[in-house]
Amino acid sequence: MSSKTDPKTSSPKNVSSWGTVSRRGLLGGAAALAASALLPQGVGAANTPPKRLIVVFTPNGTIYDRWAPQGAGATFTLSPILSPLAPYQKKLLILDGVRVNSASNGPGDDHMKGIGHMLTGTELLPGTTQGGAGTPAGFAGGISIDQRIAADIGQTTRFPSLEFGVMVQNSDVWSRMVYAGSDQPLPPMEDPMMAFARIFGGSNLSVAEAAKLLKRRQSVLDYTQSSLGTLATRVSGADKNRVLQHQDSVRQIEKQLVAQTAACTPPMVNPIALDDINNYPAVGKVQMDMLAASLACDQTRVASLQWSHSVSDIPMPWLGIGTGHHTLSHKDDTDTASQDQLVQIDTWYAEQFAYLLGKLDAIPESDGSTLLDNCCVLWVNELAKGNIHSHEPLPIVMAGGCGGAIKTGLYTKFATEQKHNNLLVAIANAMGVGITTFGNPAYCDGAIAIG
Amino acid sequence: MRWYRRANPALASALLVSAALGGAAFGVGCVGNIGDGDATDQGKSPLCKATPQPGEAPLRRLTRYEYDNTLRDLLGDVTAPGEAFPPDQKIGAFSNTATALTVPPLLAQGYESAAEELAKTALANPSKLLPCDPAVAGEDACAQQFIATFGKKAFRRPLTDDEKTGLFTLYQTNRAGADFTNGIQAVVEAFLQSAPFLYRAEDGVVSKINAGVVPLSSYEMASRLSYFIWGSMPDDSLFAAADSDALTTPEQIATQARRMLQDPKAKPAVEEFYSEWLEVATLGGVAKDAATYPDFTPSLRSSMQAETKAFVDWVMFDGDGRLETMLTAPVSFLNAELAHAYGIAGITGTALQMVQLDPKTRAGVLTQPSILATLGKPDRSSPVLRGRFIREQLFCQTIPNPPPALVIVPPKVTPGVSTREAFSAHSSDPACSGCHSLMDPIGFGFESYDGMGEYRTVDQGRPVDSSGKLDVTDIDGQFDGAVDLAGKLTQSQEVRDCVVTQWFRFAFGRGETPEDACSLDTTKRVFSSSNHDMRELMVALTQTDAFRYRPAQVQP
Repeated sequence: MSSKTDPKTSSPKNVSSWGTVSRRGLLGGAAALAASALLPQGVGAANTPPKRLIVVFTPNGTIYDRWAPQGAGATFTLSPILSPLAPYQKKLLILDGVRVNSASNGPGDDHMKGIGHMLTGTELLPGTTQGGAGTPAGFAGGISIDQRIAADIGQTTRFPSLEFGVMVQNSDVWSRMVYAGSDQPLPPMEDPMMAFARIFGGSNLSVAEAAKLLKRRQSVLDYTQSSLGTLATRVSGADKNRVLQHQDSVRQIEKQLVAQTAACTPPMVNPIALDDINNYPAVGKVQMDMLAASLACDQTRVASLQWSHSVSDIPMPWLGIGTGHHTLSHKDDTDTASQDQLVQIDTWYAEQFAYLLGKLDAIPESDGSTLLDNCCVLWVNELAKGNIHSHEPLPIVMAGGCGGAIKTGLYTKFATEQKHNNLLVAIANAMGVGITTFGNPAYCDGAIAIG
Repeated sequence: MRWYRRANPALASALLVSAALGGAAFGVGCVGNIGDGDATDQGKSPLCKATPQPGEAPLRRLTRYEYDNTLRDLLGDVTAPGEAFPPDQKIGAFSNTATALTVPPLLAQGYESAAEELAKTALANPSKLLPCDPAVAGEDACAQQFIATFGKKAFRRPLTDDEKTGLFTLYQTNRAGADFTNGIQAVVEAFLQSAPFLYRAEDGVVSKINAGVVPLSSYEMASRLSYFIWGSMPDDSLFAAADSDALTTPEQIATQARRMLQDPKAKPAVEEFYSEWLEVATLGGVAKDAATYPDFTPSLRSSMQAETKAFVDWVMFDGDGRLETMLTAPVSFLNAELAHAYGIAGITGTALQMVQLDPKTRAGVLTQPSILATLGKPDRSSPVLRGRFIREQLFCQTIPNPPPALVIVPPKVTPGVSTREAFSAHSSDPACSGCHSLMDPIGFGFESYDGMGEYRTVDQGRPVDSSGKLDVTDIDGQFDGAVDLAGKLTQSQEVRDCVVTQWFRFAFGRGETPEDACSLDTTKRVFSSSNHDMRELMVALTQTDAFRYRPAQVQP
């Protein structure tokens, strides 16, 4: 299976069309497949589906008055922006009043801090290189919550986590939200065809050929590991840390080689040009399809979806909006035409979020619940209010009951400002990860109540 | 810091900050440079010390671009397999900053897929890949010979005995129960995923450690030269020089550097520097409002980038290599769609051809649509982005972030109100003017070009005013439009020094530190005495302490 693509058209050179596929882990062995194989198989105790975490990011803050629901607690009316989520209102937990406390500190501009602190709860590292970025800032100084959770619950699936991006395009501090550790940003998969090949790609090899390939891959990766080990003894400090991370990455591929996972039906993916902004909605849709299928097929239990990047200035021609999103987000509160366009953009993002929830809610689990019921879906943003770059109240929408660990059908408007890191702890706890603090402990003093 | 010593301590000057690390070196470097610039001043800077000061030398991983070039030269593969990797992570302007180049699982898997594909392709033509015929030499002997000869190219140095043994064992493991090809395939895949291939590890000549500093070995120097000037692996001539340990003296290194600059492989590497420094590399991710700029298609966007590369090639390889030429030459390289954007008739086809431009409206690289479109908004020009660019990339200054909780309201596109008029609030509102006075008055000079870089005399029905003003620089004063500004920039010592600094960052994959004062100042002197020939600047960088030495590795 080739993963090469022509950068212009992003069309892989060698992707067959798949009706059903075997797992790469099986390397073309038994391929008895059926549509019913969408159900996760052989995972968790009988009738107890596993919990999954999904993080969704959209950029540039929101318009609070048009985002916040009316009412409180279990009795609330969705706002204009969140109205597309109405079919899932009973499965939502909307949090109003969370503040990213760490964002008052450390290097970086407010967008950088927003996306970098959002899932790590800690400051960015100082930048080493000046230029193109205002005051220098580096990548985040800690692990992100999804990766912390994946470290516990991601070890039995082929991928500890899968990161999807929709035309993220950049690879700088503004564009990274998932971190394997301090200074270790994880890039998302941006090309749906390549993501498909990685997650669902199989081969048509004979059993003997597959065995030969497996042996070669394992022995080659063994050699790779030993060469990295030798290098690690020759270098020190940050150099050594990078080599050790490389070793971890290779270890992950080694595990993928032998992971036996259920066969299932992958989504349909067609080549699509990634350099045409008109394709933004279509790329997003197929990435969501793949994310949902990855969970349904139990390829992973932790996933994220990043739309564009913080400070994203894309126009949205399919909405008739020619001004860049970031530019609009800075318009004055009294500029009603711009405010309306921002509401239109955020409502569109809510529609996309609803599409994802719909996919998840349509996948039945072994106990009669849906995949969504066993998910903790977290929708976050790098900012609260775009034109002042604030980090409170962050517009947080959660969905899915996390297997009963999260109470939904609620709009929780906190009377006092809640520490963002406490939310990250609460999410980890709901996912079954028993931590008491996360991120910079200076901004963390226990889980907030979401259960 | 030099800002506080200036005679015109405007509010703006106090707001300008230098990078924490870079500032010190920049300040120090200035002392040696004030008032000099005459050709007799070449030579070592007084900032140099008795022992070499190489600064830091972080471990460098091949970038995607270097990976592709290396595979081109190692296996003759021109499919650019690195395009399938996640983009190299960026801190600052350049995507080759060593500390940002981690290997996340997605990349490790990309290396694996690419290695498998490359090995398969290479083995389709075994007589080209192998130095021997296994049927004649014997399979094991041929495998060993291949490991030694291919390995030396892949690792860019002879293999150690341990490495040879490890790879031969790998060959045997995969030969067993299969065939010779499968064994060699495993070896090729292993080479392409191994640490010595993917990283440029350096020990230096350990026997020559002095005050914690070591000179680089000739093999290490061969790689430093080849990745700096070609963005790729050494060629036969560099390997031969390394074999005879003839890459140790400044003269030997300079001779190679000059030879290498004549080689066509220097072109893409030099283009890479300019497209990142001038931010044109990011144009691929720029989207415009189709209603405002219907001509801004993906095709035109690619042509814009190609135009700048062709211009850079012309200056650096066909022309005189001078900074002044880069900033002021009224020529460019256009095809039909670019010519249409320039409003020039009579150019057809997709191939770029050299065109003389109206020197009153266009001059040098800064007035090219690639830069102007990158530094434009989806539906309008951007004096802020353009001013910021000149300050940061040409003057190496840093503009601080907006203060917390400031309501930042950019003007909107309004019929009948020009962009310049709309931005006047920045200068009238004191909360904004502190920083924006550093950007907007420079950016206004580019108002003759719209958000995709087309020339205009009217904006929103209003006549364009492209007068601008430089402040807190060594060439302060009014200027009239971008062409006038470009001419002024060529006279700025700060800009010349900044070009050296930018090349330094790119060459070494890191920011400058106070320890680099000697290396930077020496290069600035050579640049000055060469009449600001950027090819001489490149050669001068290879002569520095930073290039020839490194800190000794801390032993475990």
